[in-house]
Amino acid sequence: MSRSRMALARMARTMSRDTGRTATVLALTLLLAGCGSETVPRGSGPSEVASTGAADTVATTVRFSDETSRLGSVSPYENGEQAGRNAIVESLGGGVGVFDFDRDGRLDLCFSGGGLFEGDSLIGLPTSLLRQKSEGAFADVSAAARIDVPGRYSHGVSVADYDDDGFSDVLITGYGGVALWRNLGDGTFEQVAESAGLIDPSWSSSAGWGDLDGDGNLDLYIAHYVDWSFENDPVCYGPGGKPDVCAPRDFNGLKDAVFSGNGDGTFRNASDEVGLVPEGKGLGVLLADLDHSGSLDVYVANDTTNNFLYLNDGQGRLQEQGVLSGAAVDAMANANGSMGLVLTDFNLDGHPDLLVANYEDENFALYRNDGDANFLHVSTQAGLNLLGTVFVAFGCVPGDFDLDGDEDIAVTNGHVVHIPRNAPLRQQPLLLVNESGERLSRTMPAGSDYFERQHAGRGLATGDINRDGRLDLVFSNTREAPALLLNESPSAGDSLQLRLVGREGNRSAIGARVELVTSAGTLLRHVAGGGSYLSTSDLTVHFGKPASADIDDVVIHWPGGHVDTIPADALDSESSHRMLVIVEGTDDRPAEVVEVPLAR
Amino acid sequence: MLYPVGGVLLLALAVGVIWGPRFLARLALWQGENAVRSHDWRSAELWFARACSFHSLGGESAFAWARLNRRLGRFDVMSEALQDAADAGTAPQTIEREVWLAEAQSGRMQNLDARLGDLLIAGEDLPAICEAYVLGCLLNYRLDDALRLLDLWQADFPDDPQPHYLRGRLTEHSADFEGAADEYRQAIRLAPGHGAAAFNLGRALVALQKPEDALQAYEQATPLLCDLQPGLVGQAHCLRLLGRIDDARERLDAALDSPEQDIELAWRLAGEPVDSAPSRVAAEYGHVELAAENYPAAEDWLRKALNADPFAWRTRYSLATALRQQGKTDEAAKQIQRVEATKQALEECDRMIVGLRRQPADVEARFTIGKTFLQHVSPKQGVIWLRSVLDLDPDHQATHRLLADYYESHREENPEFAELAARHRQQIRPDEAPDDVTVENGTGKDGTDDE
Repeated sequence: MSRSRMALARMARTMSRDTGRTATVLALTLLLAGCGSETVPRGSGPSEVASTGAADTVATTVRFSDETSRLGSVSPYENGEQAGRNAIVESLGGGVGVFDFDRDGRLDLCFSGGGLFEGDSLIGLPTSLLRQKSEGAFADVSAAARIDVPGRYSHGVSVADYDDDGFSDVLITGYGGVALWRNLGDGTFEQVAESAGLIDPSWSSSAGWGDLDGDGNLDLYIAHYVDWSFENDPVCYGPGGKPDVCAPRDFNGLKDAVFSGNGDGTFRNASDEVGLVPEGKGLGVLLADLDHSGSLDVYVANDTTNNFLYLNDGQGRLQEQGVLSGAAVDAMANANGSMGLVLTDFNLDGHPDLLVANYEDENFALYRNDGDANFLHVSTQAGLNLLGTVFVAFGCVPGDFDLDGDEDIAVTNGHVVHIPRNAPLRQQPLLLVNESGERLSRTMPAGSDYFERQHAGRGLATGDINRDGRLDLVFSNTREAPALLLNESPSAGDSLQLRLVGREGNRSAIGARVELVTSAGTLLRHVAGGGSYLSTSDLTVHFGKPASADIDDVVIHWPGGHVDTIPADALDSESSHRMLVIVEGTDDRPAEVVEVPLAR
Repeated sequence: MLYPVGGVLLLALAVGVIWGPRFLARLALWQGENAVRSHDWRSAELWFARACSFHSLGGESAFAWARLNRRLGRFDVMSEALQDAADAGTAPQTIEREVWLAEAQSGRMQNLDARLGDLLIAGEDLPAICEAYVLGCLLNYRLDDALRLLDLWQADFPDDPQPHYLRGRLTEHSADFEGAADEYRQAIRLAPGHGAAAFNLGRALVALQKPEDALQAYEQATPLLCDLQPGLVGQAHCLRLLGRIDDARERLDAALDSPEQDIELAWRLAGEPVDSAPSRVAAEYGHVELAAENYPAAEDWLRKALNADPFAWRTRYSLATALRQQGKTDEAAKQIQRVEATKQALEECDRMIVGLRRQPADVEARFTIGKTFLQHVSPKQGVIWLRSVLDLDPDHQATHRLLADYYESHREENPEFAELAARHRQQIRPDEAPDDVTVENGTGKDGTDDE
């Protein structure tokens, strides 16, 4: 008998003594019968940088130039993982805000700093504010702007002019509380969360602004994650029995929060009165009028639990209708590990669709809006099931990067555990081009190898940074420098950017819906609150348009209900790339349209 | 001169007449056993039938026939064949061992557990013993035991495809689909006729979002499996993922046209759960029509699927989608309510399974999981969980009551259920207050609201 046969016999004797006591538990049943089949163990494997195996890509005219050097020596987001705690708080990462904080016409950048472990406590690292100078380089003005005060361990950057003074303010989310940086209009900020009543001691991730109750003041939806704490910090193991970050399933979800704006720069906690449901594991949030009812709805990306779709009854009461509307789970009724959010009219039918960035082994979820917020999961039909299984997708933004009229989607990816089992730790970003509303296909942009290299991607925001009519990208990575990619696509298309200024409703026009009526069809955009992941894109509405298509008019549905139609003659221009500031009209006065010169 | 030659020829003819059928039968038996080793069940059945038609080999062929049917899970046929083998002089210990293997592979491990050491030392029939033991371990959630035996089995029998196949199944549980696919490929390399390995490779490749590769694997598996249906449904699934809706319909029509055999057996041999076997074609057809946005047809197929497998909560969700897309929102909402109730129960079940890793002997957790499975997911799996409760606490009153109720309410499905119901009922003490463990009967078979 061979040695192994003898070992077989020894083992058999041992097992026969232990009969009925060795029953370990059983993924088998789960596979066979479905229980817990949503569970995707967050495990082990290639810990080194590896290729995410670019699937077949389609040809594109999109070209990005990596202009990260323009950002100077901005500090990377720090998650404190070097302490070896393997705490889930390390996995969320940080975001970026793209906005013009000093109203000089050039977009500036804001990055959350993250934090470190100090014994059994977390300390925050300062927020960075980068001001774009005239020549396109950025200067770190954090200290001068007085925003560099270390606060709590931070994650998200949510930007809006909450006090309607014309200057964009910054909310920083994180563990144990939020910081609200009020823009004083003189190039400096003041932290006013407590005095403004924004007391939120939970663990917050993404946040979104919008006028939920229709009173003209911006309200705030804050997504909360799970109940991790130093007291609730289990030890979890990855492949090979090595300690690693626990999965969200090891924790309970936290109820999100809504703060209602009082109109005087202060807020009240309205979580109960608006009707939030308990126990999501929120990572992404987006506010927009999804059913075109005239009031803002809220979509929340939850990690491993059903996503929420709150439909607004018009009075500010939110009714959670995710499952009934078909937007809570994937086509097989699985709750996904959802992170980032995109609002886009993918199929150009006049209804805003939702794309949700998910965990590895899960498809991106594309929920087609068939009207009245009735959604259908169409990821397979759109070809998103062919992207491969490795992507742990976070920040994602819509944008017509090739100026062909339909919106494409950029995504940043990166793993959450230290020793992934099935996918690389650092991952390639994705650019998904919209093929005439039929499919979203992966493409590899030219001009820079950023999309070919792997990153620890988290936050992502867009805006026309260099004011050339083309949307650029800003990435925030964990423990890796942020990146700036300028769009240099040699497109034949035109662009039209609209910076909306609300009068009846909020000044930022969050919640507005804009239709660009052209000879080639109507293009839809929303000024949404939130979106992407931990990040805020510039609120300027951007349209790409084939050069051959003529603009008929622009219809703006403002928050509050007023509708302005801007006729073609007000939009006529010789320039292919234009930016207009449009101030909301009234019943007896049309909207004001002012052109802002662009760089080309 | 011709006489001696003629005599030799005559002798050869006589030998041929006398020994030829025996030789051919032995050849066919040998071929059949080879086919069994390669998991080519169709060929094995064919060769064994041929062997019997040539000549009776007595105990040897009867035992081979019994073993084939044990491995196919046809225990009634196996019993008869074993009786034939015993009558023909097969050693009683061989017969007895085969019965232990049959028990083990259906989850009853006591006899094999008690004798495994001796059997392995004896060294006879080791692959068969290992396979039955690993299958039993899987059914009893003894995954570590299964893995340890697989390691040793593989070391001793490196050319056996079966440990690779079973390791692939285990590897899938840790969501390592690449690893699982590699194991299946190894099994196929060792046994190109291993239809289940090819089929499972298809499933792993679908999970890896490689529908084109998966389609190839399913195409390879289809003629190898004992029934065409699983392979055709797998192909249709891939074709749907590739957007080839008409081709998917064509495969499903072929699956519907193929002669109806033992569908549960067909799916079990493909490595899939048997509970959902009768619903698989209709469910896939429903999903194909859903993808085609042909909602009335999708509704029709999905109702048929739910009629065959009322526990299929994912199919129920798809039905709700088909209803919602037709504006039948009230009924959709009711279906979704049931789906969510099931999911909530399963989430609780998940938490308990995690807890069982720390406390495997937690009887109440096992009971709750068993009850959840019995009521929401899979009666067969539920019974296995409940049996594990009685292994730990033979007097567990709630389990006896639950099983008695279950067998009683399903007595028409199996002639043994009445006796099992009575046996569990006898274990219930009269003074024991009834617990809230009644088995739900209203399963909403056709997807209509029965609440």
